[in-house]
Amino acid sequence: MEFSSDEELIICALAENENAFTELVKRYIKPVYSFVYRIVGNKGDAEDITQDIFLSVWKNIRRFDTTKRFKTWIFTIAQNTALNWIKRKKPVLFAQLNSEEEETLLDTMEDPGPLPETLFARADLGRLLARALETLHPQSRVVLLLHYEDGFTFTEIGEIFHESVNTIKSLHRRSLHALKNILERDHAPERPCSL
Amino acid sequence: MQDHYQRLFFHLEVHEPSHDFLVSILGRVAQKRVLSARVRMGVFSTLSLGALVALFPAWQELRLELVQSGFSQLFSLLFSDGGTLIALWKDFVFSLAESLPFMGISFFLGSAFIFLFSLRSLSRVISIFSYRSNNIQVSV
Repeated sequence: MEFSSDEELIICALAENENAFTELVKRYIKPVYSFVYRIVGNKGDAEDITQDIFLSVWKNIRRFDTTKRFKTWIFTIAQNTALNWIKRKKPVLFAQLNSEEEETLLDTMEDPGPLPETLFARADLGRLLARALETLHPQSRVVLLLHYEDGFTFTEIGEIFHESVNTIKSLHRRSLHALKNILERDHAPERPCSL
Repeated sequence: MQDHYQRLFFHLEVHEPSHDFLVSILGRVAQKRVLSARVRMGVFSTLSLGALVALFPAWQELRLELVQSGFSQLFSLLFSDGGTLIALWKDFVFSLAESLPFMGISFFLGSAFIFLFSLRSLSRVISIFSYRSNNIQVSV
């Protein structure tokens, strides 16, 4: 049986078609797993959380609003599940990193400029970027991953976070500033020792 | 500017789950399905049995109330003295309505409805359960 869209799959899954649900899982298992892995940082926890996510999808599929996009819905579940896991296991990561004054200042700043081209020439850029993302606040990490890796618009990210588009754009701008600072710091050549 | 950072994220390593991860997810969902089906079977079995047991005294009670309220006697006039009743049909209808044992009827119909509903739900669970047991395939 051929399925073309997520909506068709969901309609069939609601009619107790198990192949339809299996197909849905197949379509989203890799992007959801990859997203969760980047948030939690290890394979074992990422697999456990991903299993919980798909169980939650199965339990709540009858409540899914078929006028909305399924990808947004499943990533909302993924984001909530993964961030709740972090809150339980690593609560210090959720401590407020910036004061309100700092956040207001960052919100009025312009977009961060481009990264140095020499950074793109590095063979270990992927590893450097992964390490930089790990040091970001989990929410910042999620916004950047959803936008640049999973292709969500700011409006869709706003739906996932239950925030306004402007709030997400501010968070995105702050996250890019933080990421750029970390990458430039890690990429800077070491100063020679001076005697 | 965003294209610039988009280019940066292309370098991010893709993480893939274990080879049999899909099977383990589907296995866990299948376990939950079976558990859910068993719970529903238990609930609807109990409900239908309870409603069936309640039906008999409900029916006995309804029959008794129909006689005691005079409804049976009034209703039998339809067949014995139809001509008079046609002339006094309004009074006859009101008398019939007044003599209806609503409590007995409610109890009987309620038991019957619960029995039929739970029987229908039970048969649905059983048919889905047996269909899946015979036909389930996980293709990876």
